[in-house]
Amino acid sequence: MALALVVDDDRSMRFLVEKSLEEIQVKVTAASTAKEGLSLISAQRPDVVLLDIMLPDRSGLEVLRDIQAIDRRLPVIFVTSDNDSGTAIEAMHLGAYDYIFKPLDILQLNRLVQNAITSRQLMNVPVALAADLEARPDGKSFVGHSPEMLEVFKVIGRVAAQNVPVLIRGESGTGKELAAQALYQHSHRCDGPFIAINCAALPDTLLESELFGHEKGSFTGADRRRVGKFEQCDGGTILLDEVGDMALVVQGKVLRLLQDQRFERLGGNEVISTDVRIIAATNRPLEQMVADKTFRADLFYRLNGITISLPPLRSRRDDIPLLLKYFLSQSKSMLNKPHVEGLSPECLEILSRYDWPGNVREMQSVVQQAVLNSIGPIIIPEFLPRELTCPTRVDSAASEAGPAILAPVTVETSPAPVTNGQSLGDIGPFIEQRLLEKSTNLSTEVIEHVEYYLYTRVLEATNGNQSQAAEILGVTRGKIRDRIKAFNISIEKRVRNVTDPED
Amino acid sequence: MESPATRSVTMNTEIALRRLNGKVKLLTAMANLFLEDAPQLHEQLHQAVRARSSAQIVRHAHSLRGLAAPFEATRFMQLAEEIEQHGSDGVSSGLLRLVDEFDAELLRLTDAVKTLCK
Repeated sequence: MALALVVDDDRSMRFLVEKSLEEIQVKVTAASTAKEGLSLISAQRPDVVLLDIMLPDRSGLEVLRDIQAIDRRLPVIFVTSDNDSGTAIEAMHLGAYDYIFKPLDILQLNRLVQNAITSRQLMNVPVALAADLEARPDGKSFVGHSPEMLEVFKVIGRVAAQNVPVLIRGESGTGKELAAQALYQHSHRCDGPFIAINCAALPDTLLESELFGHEKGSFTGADRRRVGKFEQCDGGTILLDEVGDMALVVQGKVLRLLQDQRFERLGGNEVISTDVRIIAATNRPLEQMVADKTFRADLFYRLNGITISLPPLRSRRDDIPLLLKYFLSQSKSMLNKPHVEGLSPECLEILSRYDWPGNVREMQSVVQQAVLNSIGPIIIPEFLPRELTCPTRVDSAASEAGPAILAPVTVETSPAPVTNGQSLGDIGPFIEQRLLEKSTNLSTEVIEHVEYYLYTRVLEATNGNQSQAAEILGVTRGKIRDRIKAFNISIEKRVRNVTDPED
Repeated sequence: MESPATRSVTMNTEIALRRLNGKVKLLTAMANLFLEDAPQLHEQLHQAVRARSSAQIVRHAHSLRGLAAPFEATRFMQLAEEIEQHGSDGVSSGLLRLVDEFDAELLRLTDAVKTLCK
């Protein structure tokens, strides 16, 4: 369980943070003075610190310097009731992870703390480039013996120390973020910050503001000046994940930043200099996007200086047994199932033949579910998710619809991994069932169940139109694509004849 | 008994609850903490004014502002902030007038917060 330290002399604030973070399974330890806080950092090694700017004994800004002396990579989130954003901006320049204003909004607080903890893990967990089998409890290993993966390790080793942009390409689930982490950890910037931004997860304006910051009043809701990630990450490394989903206007600003490391905040005139290494990652066909004019050619060439291509799992089948063993070992320890000995031959056969469209991430999830479902020492096919043992037909995407007359689009889904295709009305019984089964991941399972229903229902309502679905759901098209893939939703345009008797 | 109009300026439960994601019990717990801690901080503020200690005036006004923040007590927070600003320049007649106004607003806020504990 992650640990957060809150340093605030206001006990109601300490109480609020504790209660709020309980919901995201983050344990809280608290201090009311800077001195007490610093000693707790040394003694308990928290994963994130929430620090009041105005403490009774010292200024939070001074305390930040002391925290950095103890642990340079520990994310510090300032909590301030000052309306003047000047102090907060100074804090960001000193290397704070972020800042949040009082009164606290608990959902915003939880999101911020969760991101900070993820960032801490990304910075701290060494990525094993060697093909070892020792399962790390946090799951951060690049496992592979195949010539394809050894080539990837070599390229990472060669370019990590070079201060050049790197483009990481590969299908979803092949480990692009791990490759970026490895590049960061083996670079001379490893003492600086590492920030990962998913460009597909944010609407265009928000992404621009997140990356470059904004001035007060630059758009509706911009009630304060905000420092962006490029400014915050000075001296460090930024991963622009899903860069192919970045809007053209943001691409232009990123290009300028790559060219001369300068930019302006949204709505501002001040030119800000920064020193950031950019690593970009995508699974999109950037060359085609350049031809279609949806991705800037000049940015593509800039990013494409050095490219690392991660092979899909199906083209490095030699690694499958090794990876299975690795994830089995990891899941046994994580799910506290020490009695699990391994896979039955039938099970291994199924898993070895499977195409793994979701790559290594999918394998990790499948093994985890199999271990969770297992009731004896040997994992048999029965414990595997249904889509592996009874594969369902995955229809071609809507864009591949043939000629003739098209009936309304039908959204078909294969069963969601854990929910077994139940409807939303089954949520109560589903929770009861999972409680009986002593689920240790119920929150995720229930959210997945609801999301699965929501996405299929909305896609059905929009006749498979992903842009409309994105608008209705208030998410990006990238998110829609991601969910379609994750839930194996098939959008089928049924071809029918006008004289079909069913008409 | 305060009028609804006064109450809406003194505290806004709707916004406060929205920030707490609708958790009424959490707001009640915060209200109890406010009622326990505010009198002591208020007394410390008065001691600081009597001692003409700028640093302590700023400190205690700031703490009271933070304590009231979860209840969206805009008037109270505004007065606390003004005391922080004036307090850093020393004790003046203007500051004393502000403290009087602040005392009255604290009484109103305390009454309003008490309703959350019922």
